[in-house]
Amino acid sequence: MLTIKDLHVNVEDKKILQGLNLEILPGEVHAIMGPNGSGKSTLANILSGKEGYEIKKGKINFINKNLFDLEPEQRAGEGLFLAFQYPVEIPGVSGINFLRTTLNSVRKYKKQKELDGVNFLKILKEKAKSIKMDENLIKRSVNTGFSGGEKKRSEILQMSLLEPKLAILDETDSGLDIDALKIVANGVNNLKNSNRSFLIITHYQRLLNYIVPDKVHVLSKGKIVKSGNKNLALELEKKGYEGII
Amino acid sequence: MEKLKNFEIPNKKIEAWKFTDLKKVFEKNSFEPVKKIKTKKSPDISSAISKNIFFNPKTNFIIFKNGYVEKMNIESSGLEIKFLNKNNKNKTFNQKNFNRNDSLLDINKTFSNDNLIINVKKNIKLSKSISIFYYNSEKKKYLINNRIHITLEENAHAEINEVFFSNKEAVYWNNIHNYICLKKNSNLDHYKIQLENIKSVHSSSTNVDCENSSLYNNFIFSVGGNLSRIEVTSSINSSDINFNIKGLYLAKTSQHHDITTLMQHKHPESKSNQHIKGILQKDSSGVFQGKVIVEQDAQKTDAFQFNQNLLLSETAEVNAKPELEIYADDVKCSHGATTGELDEEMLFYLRSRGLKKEDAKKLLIEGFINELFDDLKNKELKQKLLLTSKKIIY
Repeated sequence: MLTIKDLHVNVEDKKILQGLNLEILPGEVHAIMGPNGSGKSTLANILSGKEGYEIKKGKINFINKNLFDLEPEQRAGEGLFLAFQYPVEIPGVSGINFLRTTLNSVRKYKKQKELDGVNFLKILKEKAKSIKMDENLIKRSVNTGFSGGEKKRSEILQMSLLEPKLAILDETDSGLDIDALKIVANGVNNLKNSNRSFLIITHYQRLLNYIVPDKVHVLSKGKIVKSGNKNLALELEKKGYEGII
Repeated sequence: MEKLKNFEIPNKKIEAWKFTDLKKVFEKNSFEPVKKIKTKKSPDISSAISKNIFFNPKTNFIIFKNGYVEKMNIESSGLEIKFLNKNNKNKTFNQKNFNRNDSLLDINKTFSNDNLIINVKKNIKLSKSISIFYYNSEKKKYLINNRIHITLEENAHAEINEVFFSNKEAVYWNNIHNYICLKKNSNLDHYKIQLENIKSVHSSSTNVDCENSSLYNNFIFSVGGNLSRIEVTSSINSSDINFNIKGLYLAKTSQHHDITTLMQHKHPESKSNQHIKGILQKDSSGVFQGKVIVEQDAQKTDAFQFNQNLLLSETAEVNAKPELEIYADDVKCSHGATTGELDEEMLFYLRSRGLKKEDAKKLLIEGFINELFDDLKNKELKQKLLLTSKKIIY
């Protein structure tokens, strides 16, 4: 699914990622944990194609394609999805219009038929219900005036609509209360199948109680310094990053 | 007979015209005042007008063609429309509240074409709107001067739509000034839809005298013209008045769009609210000048003003000049102006969801416009305006 080889990334001459390696197979759930400034969000941004990073070295392969050859929208079309840590507010653009445009853009990329309003709304209603998202929120402008939890829920709704092959969740658990956390975790678990992979970036072990990872990696100073199974997350929780790194 | 050349055309030497040089455009065209063109009046509404998407034959309407009234249709009772001439001057209107520092009104009065009085009687709530079409069709370079005096009597409610448009060939300068008197408890929705052709010049002013508990909602949609200056001036003479302006100027190519407003709060406890947005493409330029004066007596005034501009090219430019002049101490006033390109974070967010860059831009521009249109009461008109703006952007 995803292979990252010896990735070195700078931001304004500052070394952020320094030789990162990662391999995610279809159907796997990986968690990346690490302290602030270890490069977690940089990794997420690089994968989604955000500008402002200097790739010094390394390769990323996503389903047999060189990821660096693809524009952000092409990555989305190929099945890569990033749930943002801080989703932006877009005043004036209604949620429904946005969601329909995004789904149809991805469908078009995949050479599937675009959905008409009626069929789209049917799907949207189902998905919104499954993550207990208030329909009134969807009618409003995208993320505008949403609470932190509502924004994260809106990311999960987009994820379940687009049905990506690889979903990256960038600190989706931060700022969520326990109920919202369960709903987000449920959204992920419902999507899990043998062809779909997840990369969960988080500070805390908490979310991993609900989304059980196949592999846990510890990121420090731009490198993965330790990998293990779900027990590594528990160990981290007990000992702290200092005890492991 | 006076000559137009005896008047000083507004130019950058006049403070209020610092950013808009009408004289320069005038000299290039040397417009001459239009005289009545003798044509046979057709019984039917000419196809250009009936094809206009804002035209609806079932409402009250007035059609000006090249400066003169071509047709009038009154459907509602309690609505009176007549010609304005020396014998029936509008006495309810206090001209002193709307002094001008330039020659535009003098020019208008000296070379007047047809002028009208519109009266909505006491307690009448018009269910049908009043549409005023200003249509021009002639190739020769001509100046058109119309004036309309509108009065809404006590408790009257109305919607007035003014639509300015022409065929492609016409070359003209529309110099149109309206005076509105809102009596106690009256309520006016006023849409100004400026769709002049790209060769033309538009200068217009709306001057509104407000009595207590009146409500005025103005919506400016300015997309046409080579040079366009739209002014709104209020005289807030009493309490509990709500004065709202929403405006959009949208320039496609080398156009110049100017919206200039003046709010005169003279009495306590009234509100004014202005939100003006601009989208500028290629080498177009935009101007927003908004002045709010709160006089010493006008305590507990609530005045808000905001101007937002979206520059879609490196050669487009905007001059924003928001001004507050406050002489009362217990007021809530704010103003602000922003100018920028499309937000990179928003663009990236949309692209990461599969939208091509161009589609993402379109969606964001639509969002920028939608925000302004959101609470327009006339939903049908709103759709038509949205459609018109989409055609101009893409």
